[in-house]
Amino acid sequence: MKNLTAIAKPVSWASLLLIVVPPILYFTGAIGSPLMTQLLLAGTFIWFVSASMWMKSE
Amino acid sequence: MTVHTDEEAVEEIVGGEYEREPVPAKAQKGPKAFWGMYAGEHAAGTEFMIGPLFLAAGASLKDLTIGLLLGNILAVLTWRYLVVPIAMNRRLTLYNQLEKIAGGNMVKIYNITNGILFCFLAGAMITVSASAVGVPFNVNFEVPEATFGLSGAGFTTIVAIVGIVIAAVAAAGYNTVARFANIAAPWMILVFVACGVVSLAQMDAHSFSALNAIWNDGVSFVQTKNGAADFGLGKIIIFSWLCNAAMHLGMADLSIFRFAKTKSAGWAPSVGMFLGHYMAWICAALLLAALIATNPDATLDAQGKVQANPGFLAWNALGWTGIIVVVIAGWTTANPTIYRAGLAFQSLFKNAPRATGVIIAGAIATIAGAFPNLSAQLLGFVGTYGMILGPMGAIIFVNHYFAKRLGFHTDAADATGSKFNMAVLLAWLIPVVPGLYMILGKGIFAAYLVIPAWIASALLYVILGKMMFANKTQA
Repeated sequence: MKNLTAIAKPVSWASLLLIVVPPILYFTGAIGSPLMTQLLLAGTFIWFVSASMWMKSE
Repeated sequence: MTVHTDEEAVEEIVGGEYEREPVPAKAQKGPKAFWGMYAGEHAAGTEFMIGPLFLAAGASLKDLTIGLLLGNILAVLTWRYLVVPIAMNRRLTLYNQLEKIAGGNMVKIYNITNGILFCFLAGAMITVSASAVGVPFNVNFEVPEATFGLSGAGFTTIVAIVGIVIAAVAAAGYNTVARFANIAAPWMILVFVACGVVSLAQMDAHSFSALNAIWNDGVSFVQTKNGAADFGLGKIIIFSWLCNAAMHLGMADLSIFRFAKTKSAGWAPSVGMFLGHYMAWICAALLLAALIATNPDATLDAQGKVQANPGFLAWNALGWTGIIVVVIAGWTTANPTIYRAGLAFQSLFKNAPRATGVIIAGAIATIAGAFPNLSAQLLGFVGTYGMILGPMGAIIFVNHYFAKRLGFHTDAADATGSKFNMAVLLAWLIPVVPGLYMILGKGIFAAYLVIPAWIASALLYVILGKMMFANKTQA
């Protein structure tokens, strides 16, 4: 469980990049709306799964 | 609602410890716990509703950015210099403090009033959540003209389902939801940022002047469809200062800051204000500006009026993540609100099961949520909420600073053994009743009346306190 938490923590923080970066890339025109929304959804999913592993244990 | 950094400390702060006694030194917390708590507290479901209402009400972008800045600074100063000194001096909950001044029976009246207002707030959040749940099913809510008019049958059904689920979860205890809200808080704040950035991209607004022009076009569009409205700088400052008046001027946050080890904890609300009531409001407002700029017809209801449907706005910008954030934001705000309202009602039913009050609160909130016009009037509602509850803070203020100095009893109910302090009731209701008449009958913007009501209550309590509780033992 301790190992899982150690992995989950950086994964969850990294997943928040999927909430921030795709909108910026969309703003600059580097990606389109469909990919941006898919990445946001992936970031959301990863955040809730990984954060629930370590936030409740602290 | 709250923290992800110092959870135990915050659970103690909000979890009902030391309800009947001053917080001892060993239980006091450093500023970190308060910063963490307020960070998540003000980025919630209401922000998705309030932000777009600024544009819909005709606020200019310049006024909004400056007005929110000044109003939020005033709010933080009010917390720091009005609430914190009293909280740290007495270290009592609001209710315990009020009981000593007003008596137990008077506190019950305050509790019920607070509970009813909480129900309407929770109702607005149920509407917000339902607006998002309806999007995948192609069920949009129509805002009827009448305050107590229903939307379509489909939307009303979704409100009922969402309300029942939220009330049932709240009745079971809200620890799980509180924990879920903690997990959601950092994600939600960033999703608000995403809303803003994506909206800018949709509007192709790459400079402030370009954004300003698009925003002004949006305001003109709304005014063409909905009629002229004005929400100028002064109004924005007053609103953003006083939308949480119940918490600072009304002293509800005495219950939080009684745990403060140092006065610097009083600056902690700034993080909530500037994340929730600045960044989140502006980002949520940009959602409506973007929809008007890119697909104005999608903002119109059946009567051809512009309406801010938070679920659809977020969907338009972020897709499924938008739906998820609006549902979670509404749910995690409504749930503890219904729970707290339930606790207030529970005082009326001493021998009933513990869930009775929560179920009643959930039922009232669900009924309120079925009337979308109530949530569309959220700008007015939060002002009314502050106008009604704020004056109690004035009475606490007078009791703390002036009662002894002016020769009447501090903590009058305690001193006289009274269960019902008539002076408190009169000092509260004499300003609030005409205030309500001016808001509901004359259409005065509610936030304008918060400070006058507060001052009037303070003065009345001085006069009535001297008349009714003169302390003859004092020099």
